[in-house]
Amino acid sequence: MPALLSVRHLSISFHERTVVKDISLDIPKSGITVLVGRSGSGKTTFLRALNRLNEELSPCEVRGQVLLHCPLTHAYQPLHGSEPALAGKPIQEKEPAHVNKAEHAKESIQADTATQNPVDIYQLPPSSLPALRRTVGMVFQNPNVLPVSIKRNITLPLALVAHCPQGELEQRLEQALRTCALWAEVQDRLHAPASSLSGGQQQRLCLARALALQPRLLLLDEPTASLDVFATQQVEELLRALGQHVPMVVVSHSLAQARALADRIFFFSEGSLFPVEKDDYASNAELAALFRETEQQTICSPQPAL
Amino acid sequence: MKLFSAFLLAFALLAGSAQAAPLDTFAGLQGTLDIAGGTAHIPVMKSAAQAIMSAHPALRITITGGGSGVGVQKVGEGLAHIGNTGRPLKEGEMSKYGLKSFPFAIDGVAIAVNPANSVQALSKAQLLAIFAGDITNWKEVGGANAPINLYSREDGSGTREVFEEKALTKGAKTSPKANVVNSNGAMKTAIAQDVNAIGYVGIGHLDAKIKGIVLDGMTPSQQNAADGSYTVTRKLYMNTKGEPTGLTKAFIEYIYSPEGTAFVKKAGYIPLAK
Amino acid sequence: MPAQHTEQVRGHTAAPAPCSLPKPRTLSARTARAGWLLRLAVFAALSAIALLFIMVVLFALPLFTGTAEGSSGVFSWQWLPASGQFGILPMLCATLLLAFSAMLLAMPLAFGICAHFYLGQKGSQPSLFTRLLRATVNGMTAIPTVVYGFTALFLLTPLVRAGLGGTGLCWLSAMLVLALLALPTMVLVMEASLRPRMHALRPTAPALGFSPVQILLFLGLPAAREGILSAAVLGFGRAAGDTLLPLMLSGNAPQLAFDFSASLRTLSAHMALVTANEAGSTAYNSLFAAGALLLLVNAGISLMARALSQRASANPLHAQPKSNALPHDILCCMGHWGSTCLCRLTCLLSWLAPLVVLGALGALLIFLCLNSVDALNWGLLFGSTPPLQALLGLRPVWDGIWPACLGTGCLVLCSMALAMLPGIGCGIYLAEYATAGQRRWIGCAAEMLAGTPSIVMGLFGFLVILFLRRTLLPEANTCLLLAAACLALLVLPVLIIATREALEACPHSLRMASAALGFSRQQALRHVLLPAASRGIASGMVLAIGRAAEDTAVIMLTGVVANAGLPAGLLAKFEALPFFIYYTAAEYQTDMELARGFGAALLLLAVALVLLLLASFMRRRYSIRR
Repeated sequence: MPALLSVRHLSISFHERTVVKDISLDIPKSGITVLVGRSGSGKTTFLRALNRLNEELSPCEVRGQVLLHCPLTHAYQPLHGSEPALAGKPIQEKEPAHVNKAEHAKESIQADTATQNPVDIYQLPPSSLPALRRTVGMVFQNPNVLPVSIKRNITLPLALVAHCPQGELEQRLEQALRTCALWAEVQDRLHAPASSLSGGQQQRLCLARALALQPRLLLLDEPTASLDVFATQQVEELLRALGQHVPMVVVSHSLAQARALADRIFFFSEGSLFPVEKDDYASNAELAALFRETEQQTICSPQPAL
Repeated sequence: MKLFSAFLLAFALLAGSAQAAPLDTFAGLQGTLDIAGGTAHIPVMKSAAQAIMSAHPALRITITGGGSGVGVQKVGEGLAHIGNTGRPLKEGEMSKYGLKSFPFAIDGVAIAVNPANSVQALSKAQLLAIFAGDITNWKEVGGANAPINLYSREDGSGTREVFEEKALTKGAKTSPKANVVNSNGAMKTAIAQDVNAIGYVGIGHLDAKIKGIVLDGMTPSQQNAADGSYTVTRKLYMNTKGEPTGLTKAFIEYIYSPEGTAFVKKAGYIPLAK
Repeated sequence: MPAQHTEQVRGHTAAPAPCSLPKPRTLSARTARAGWLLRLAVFAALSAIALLFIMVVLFALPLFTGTAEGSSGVFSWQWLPASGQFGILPMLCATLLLAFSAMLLAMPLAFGICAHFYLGQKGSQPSLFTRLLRATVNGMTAIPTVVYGFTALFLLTPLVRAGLGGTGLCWLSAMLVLALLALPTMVLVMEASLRPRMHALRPTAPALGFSPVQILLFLGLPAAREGILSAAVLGFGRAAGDTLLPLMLSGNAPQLAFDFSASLRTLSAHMALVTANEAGSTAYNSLFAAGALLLLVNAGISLMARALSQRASANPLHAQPKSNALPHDILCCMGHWGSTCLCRLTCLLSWLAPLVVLGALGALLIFLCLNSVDALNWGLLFGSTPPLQALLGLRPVWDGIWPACLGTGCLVLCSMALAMLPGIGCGIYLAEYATAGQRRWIGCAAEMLAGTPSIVMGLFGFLVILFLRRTLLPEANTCLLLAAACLALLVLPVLIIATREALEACPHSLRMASAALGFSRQQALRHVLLPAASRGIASGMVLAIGRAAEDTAVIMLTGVVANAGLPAGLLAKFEALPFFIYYTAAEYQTDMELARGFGAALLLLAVALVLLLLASFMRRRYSIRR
């Protein structure tokens, strides 16, 4: 399957503490990728590395590359346009030669992406970050709605980031809310503060908000961690349905959720990544056993010095 | 707007014709006159300015305080046309800026105590000892057995200068333990409240709330100050940079006119002829 | 994917990092450049501050280095200008003593009031008393110092005299009123920092079984440490920089004070007292030495507070607590008995402090009303002119304070218009863009400015005009614009610090959410962070408006006059209420005049309140729109 995003030797450290250690990974153009791991294993930091959100938190040190094989979405995209990528204006990479040198070893992965002229997101100037984050959307563990009305939560980023014309906002708002099965619940109180919604509704609002921006890839950081069983079920169903259209990377600490959602599963342990094959497990229990085994390996085996 | 100015003009003409002669000198003059400096002068200046501006609305006279030092600096630097001081100009000030002084009023400085104080009179020697901090109890000068609370004015104050020179002796020192206030009003407020207080104020500020002390037989009153039998007096000055001209000259003339002297009297000072 | 690939990736994790990899990049969002408007704002604010400091230092330097023959320098213990002794060290000690004691007194009061906001309310709606308290604290910012001074002179000093003996004009009187003066600043800054933290703790902490007072004491307070330190530094600066209150209440004897009943002279009062001297004389110039010393004192305090706060939060990772994580508590350091006592004490304080403050203000207001009752009529406003004609500007007003009211209004509007961009811009820059070093020294400069006495600002304006006359604009003169600019400088630190505090208090999740949605920094600021911080910034504006409305010392040297009629433009002189009050207080002769002064004070309070209401109305409109 062609890759949408390739991570190469990515290491991230905060204040000289390495949180993500030399990770290489491809994220394909469709389906849901789930990263499972204990809390503190670095999976959230890794996820945030995919849209460069770590640096918003506190200064961090990054090695390696994250190559995006699609152009960044800069300009306005019509709602019912053709392939979204065509509407966007591709950004020229600054030092393609340098990237290619590091990449030549992996021809199997390169084969498909060579024509696409991948972008190392860590080479992007700060001015391109908004475009990057629009291309790679994100939903957080806690539903962090903006302190404005329900409607503004969706229309504000649409107007500011996606440069959506005023006349189209209502339509997009409704569409986004319908996609997330929220329209029926909120259509008569769109001007109420978003914080007045329940936790599950807020999380779906956040999802709708992210989807309204038409991201090429969606990152979800434990999207159901702060929700109750029913809300979790609802969101999971939603994610499964959406996963057909938008590729996703989901971080989770629940093996059951990982099995339910995933097209691919990776274990995250001590800042390192371990792929799990579909054939390797048939049930939750087997998956759990595999996870424990992997974890034991990392803890026992010496870590590469960084 | 036209109507408005016409109205003003009519009002001015009416008022002008009703006024006595001194205001006529302002006829035909235009512009702004800025006055700055000592706060003691403000009542006189304000009354005069009101009379003049009522008669001649085209003129604009502004008055502000700041103290004697600021008055000199402002007039010297050309920021004001008249700089008021409550003390004669110093040598340095005179030569640095080329200022010309116009004394227009005499302000007597009275030694004041609280009305509840039984002491009525003091000798110069007693006063000297009190302000030097040598006498610290009222019973030593014939009063009740209570500590003396000294109140003084700030350095550079005209009132303090004349008090130290004429009520005390030249070069006399005020004890550094004395409380310092920076205006006649503040002095009056302090003495009116404090039974054991002694301080000094402009004679115009004496009333039922504070009591003037007879010093070496001299009773502080406006009349005595005017006829020279009370000697602790100072002059109030207007200062200009060089010889005054135009509006400035007219204003100074006006202060010396009968109407001007009436304002001086109303403010509690003794008018001084040019 | 084939199993082989699994091995490959595993192999990579185990192998040492290839040397061909590029060097690690340190990334931080702080490196983003601020927009030109922000940079302009910071530049404007900093250059104004720098100009002021340079001027003070330039004038003070000759006094510090060499002295005239036969006289002792400014660093000695005797102030006897007649004998050539110009020592201002006693004043330095007095300033430190007075400001520190006032700050120490105001601190628990301010904390008590803040605590009341959280502990005093039952249910979600604040009680009437709490709302009254909040309004009072906002209103207090606009109470002119001259009003405090005069009321205290008639109300407080007799009490102090009866209690301690002496003259009543002493350390204690000045300290009590200065504490009251510094209180609203401290409450507003403290609250701006506590509010979001308490808000973040709301669902988590009660669930753990903490009582409200425990949450406040052991969780909210440590998290808001920086804000509380800022409050203390600002309070100290306000107390150290105030001129009028020490001048009126502390007795001004240039001596060392060792007990509460002793008279003392502060540096700021000293500065006001020496302006009567010949300009250029050593006595006059000691004003600059006093100003420079005050700057040094404030710089020292500010740096010390910063060092303290940095030691307290040595670990940069945990400097900013995450929204839901409980900050480390000091509960464990204290025994059960100690913590119980502390909680009880806080509860007591949360009622005692509001009552004390409201009582003091009530007494002040009643006193003002009683004393001005004779003067409260149309004549106070318009003199002998018929009110309607005066209002329409048809006839000039004599002996009325209507022109002064308008003048004060214009002055406040102009100074706010001038201070808004640099103040808020600088605050935003500090909170969002500045590097650690910039934060330290710009913050320090702002705090130093906060403690600079207003008379220094006035003098600064005066000297600027002198300079302009000699160089570029020979026709320049003191005017409304100059006074507004100097006032803007005076309120600048309040705006800077309030904006910075409010922005830094925004929950981190908000920043992350906006960044993840692809908002640029500017967009996130404008549409998410600033609205969220608007309440704190508005508090700062309220403070600034009150400060601009009441200050006397600044405008006295820069263009206010006792007699000018209605304000005639930016380049004209103007009348202002605080100056009217000051002048009445200084030269009143009859009781009627005094009553008019009190009437004017009451009116000034009203004017300030109207401005405050206007500010809150604008804020409400803004928050509804978002």
